[in-house]
Amino acid sequence: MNKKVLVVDDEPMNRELFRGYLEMEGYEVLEASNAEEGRELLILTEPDLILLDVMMPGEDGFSLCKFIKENWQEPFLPVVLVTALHDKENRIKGLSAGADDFLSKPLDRLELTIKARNMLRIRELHQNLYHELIFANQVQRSLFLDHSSVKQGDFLLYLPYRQVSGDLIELWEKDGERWGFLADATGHGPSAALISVAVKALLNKSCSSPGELLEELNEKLYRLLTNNDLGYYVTGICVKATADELLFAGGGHPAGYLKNKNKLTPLVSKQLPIGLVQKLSFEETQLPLSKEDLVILYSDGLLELLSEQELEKLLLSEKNKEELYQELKKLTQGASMRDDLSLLAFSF
Amino acid sequence: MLGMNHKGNNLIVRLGEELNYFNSTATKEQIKQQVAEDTEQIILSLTEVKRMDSSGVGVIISLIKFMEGKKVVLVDPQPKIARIFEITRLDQIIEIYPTLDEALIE
Repeated sequence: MNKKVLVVDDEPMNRELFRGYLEMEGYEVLEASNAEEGRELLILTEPDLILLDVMMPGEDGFSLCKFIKENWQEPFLPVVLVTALHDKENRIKGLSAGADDFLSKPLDRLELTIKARNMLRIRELHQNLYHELIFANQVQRSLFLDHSSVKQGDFLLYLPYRQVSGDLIELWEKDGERWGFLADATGHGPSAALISVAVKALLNKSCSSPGELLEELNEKLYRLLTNNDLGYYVTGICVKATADELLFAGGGHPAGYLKNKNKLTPLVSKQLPIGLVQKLSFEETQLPLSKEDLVILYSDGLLELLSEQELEKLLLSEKNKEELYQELKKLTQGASMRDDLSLLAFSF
Repeated sequence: MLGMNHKGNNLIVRLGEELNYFNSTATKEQIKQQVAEDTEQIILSLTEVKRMDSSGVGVIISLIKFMEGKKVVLVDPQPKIARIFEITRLDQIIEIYPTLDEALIE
């Protein structure tokens, strides 16, 4: 498919010249005569490259460039500003607006075609990486979100900050017990996702208690992470629920909650994160549990959207389980994420 | 990062507003390059740090490993940042001082 180049210029003659040169190179050319039209075409046609005249009546090229750079999500979309050859002031203004390169007026065919080719090559590299990450996201979701143990009334949120996530949610059943595990590997993106895959592989679900599971995981993970100074570690919390008791242990993880009608008991991690030191013993806490109680575990990405106090207030509100889930989901929709976010809520 | 300087056997690092996924690797490398043979302690001044994610915390862990038994201490974290070290329990293994003077070693 031909690469699409959007030319935004108020001068029909200039647009004609761009079109002629670019079509000779095999590109599809889209034309806009002002910033507003450019904005519309950007959304409608998703071009691969934008050539933007800086001086236009109404909104100028700097403003449109800034808008694109601030609002266009991945993958990288190159914007080349068209300015007078030695206009240093405008070039600095353009760089501040996020421009990726400049083209000089009067237009030089060779300069235009070389710059277009270079910019499109950079975009292609970004696109390849981006598509690889999208694919990795699908792989991670299918590997991680095993719904066979999810029952009606359970709630899971799994939102990567950058396509793939360093978080891991596990929910399983064993001998009539329900187990939940939520971990968060340092950082975001592919490196954190690789650590979380290792955590999944190392998790021994045949352990008899959360403390034992974390202790074993810590030792195995320490062996993997010890020979580098990358600073990786994993925070995690593990719970085991039976008909009348909840047992939990955690390492460096934000407190989960046990919600019983109007009472909220924090499930506080008492140990260091997992994988930092060779031997750790994870103290367990035992709490009474009833069928209506809700266990809520989450990663610290949630605390980027609301404070611990606000979360407690929300959990203590008069909402029923479904309303609460909807409220939590609503919080994340359209939110500007700064970290991986995951949440698991379940009852026995 | 706002700057670094040596004072006796201390390497004092003044961190900027954010220590996150995007600047953690560069920050870590810059600090490591400044560690001299006689550096006994890295002091990370957190006065200006408003946001720190787990990659930022990872920088500190990485420096602890890099210093091989020598110290990495923190100074003057804002409450929100101090809370991160409380939640992760890392305050059990990392010393946190209210002022730079208290953190300095002779």
